[in-house]
Amino acid sequence: MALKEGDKVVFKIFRYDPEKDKAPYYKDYEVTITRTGMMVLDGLNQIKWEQDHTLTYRRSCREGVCGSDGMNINGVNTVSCMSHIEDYNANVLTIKPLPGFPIIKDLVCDFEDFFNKYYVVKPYLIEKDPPPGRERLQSPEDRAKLDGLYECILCGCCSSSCPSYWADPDYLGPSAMLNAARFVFDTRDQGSDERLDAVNSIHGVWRCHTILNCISACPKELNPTKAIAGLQKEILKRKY
Amino acid sequence: MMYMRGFIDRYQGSAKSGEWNWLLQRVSGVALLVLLLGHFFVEHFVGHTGLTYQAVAARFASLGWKIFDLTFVVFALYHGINGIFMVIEDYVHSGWRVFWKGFFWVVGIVYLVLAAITVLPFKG
Repeated sequence: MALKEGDKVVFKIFRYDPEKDKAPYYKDYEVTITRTGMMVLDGLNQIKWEQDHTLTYRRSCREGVCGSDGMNINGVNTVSCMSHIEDYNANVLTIKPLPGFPIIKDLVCDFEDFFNKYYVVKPYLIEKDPPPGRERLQSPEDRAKLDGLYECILCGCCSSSCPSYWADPDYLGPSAMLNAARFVFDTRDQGSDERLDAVNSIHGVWRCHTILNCISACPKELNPTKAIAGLQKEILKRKY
Repeated sequence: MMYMRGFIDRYQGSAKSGEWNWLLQRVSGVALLVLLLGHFFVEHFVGHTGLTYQAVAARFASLGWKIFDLTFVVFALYHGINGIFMVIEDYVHSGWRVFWKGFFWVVGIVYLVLAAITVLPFKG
């Protein structure tokens, strides 16, 4: 559906202010297409700046790098700054906060638990040897092993789309484990034993039921399920 | 990062990581596929000339068939009940988890005993 300048699209947005509202509700806003290729975030900005400044959502870089604006648009988790309005082929976009996360206000979720789980896998380079005194070099082949892992922007779309993550409050989730894999498979890193120990848990890699929602949700087109399978293989390989 | 120390400890050094349940679920799944195909093959394509009580009874009375059948039962019960355990671990976080797991342990044992007393003593 090609949208022209002047076309209208309705944004049906989840609203909730715990200080004022007894219950969440949906409110419709009319967004006017002002140029071709408008993103959903452009529509949200138009609403906030021109219609209703009480609408609350996170955004920062508006180009899919900061990972602030993860939300659920027409049933699919994504970041609003990487989603063209016209790609939804719909006159109405229903916009909700990320499912499974506690809601602070409107589209803003509480990420504390999500980031605590991220820190569990120690998402930083661990080195036992003394620092080399220069940059840590890596062959292009070893570097290529990190493709599909290092690009994660921590938007939370994958973990929030995962039914195992909804069901088990202690489940580490696809995002934390993709980031574990990013360091486990880095040849410069020496902390993989402690990382694998953390994800080798009933709430870790073995809780993944390969539902694959995380793959379709990821706006960066990464594959957390494959990363988890890699960790499972690595754990079994080291033990047996 | 001291404040999250307790949080991280939850994931460290757990005696029951679940890796065996995960691995054996795959192993039993593959085993079931092989056993099921073997079951079909024997039941439908082997020795079909004399489909009489005597012929079937003779097969049921043979030691090889008894071992085959019991192996089938053990893998099927393990695969099914282990799957239910995974669902329980997903969705039940209260004290009911112990109850439901215990319940399905009992179910498994009852069915195993039933299978054993059906298959093993048969003499024809």
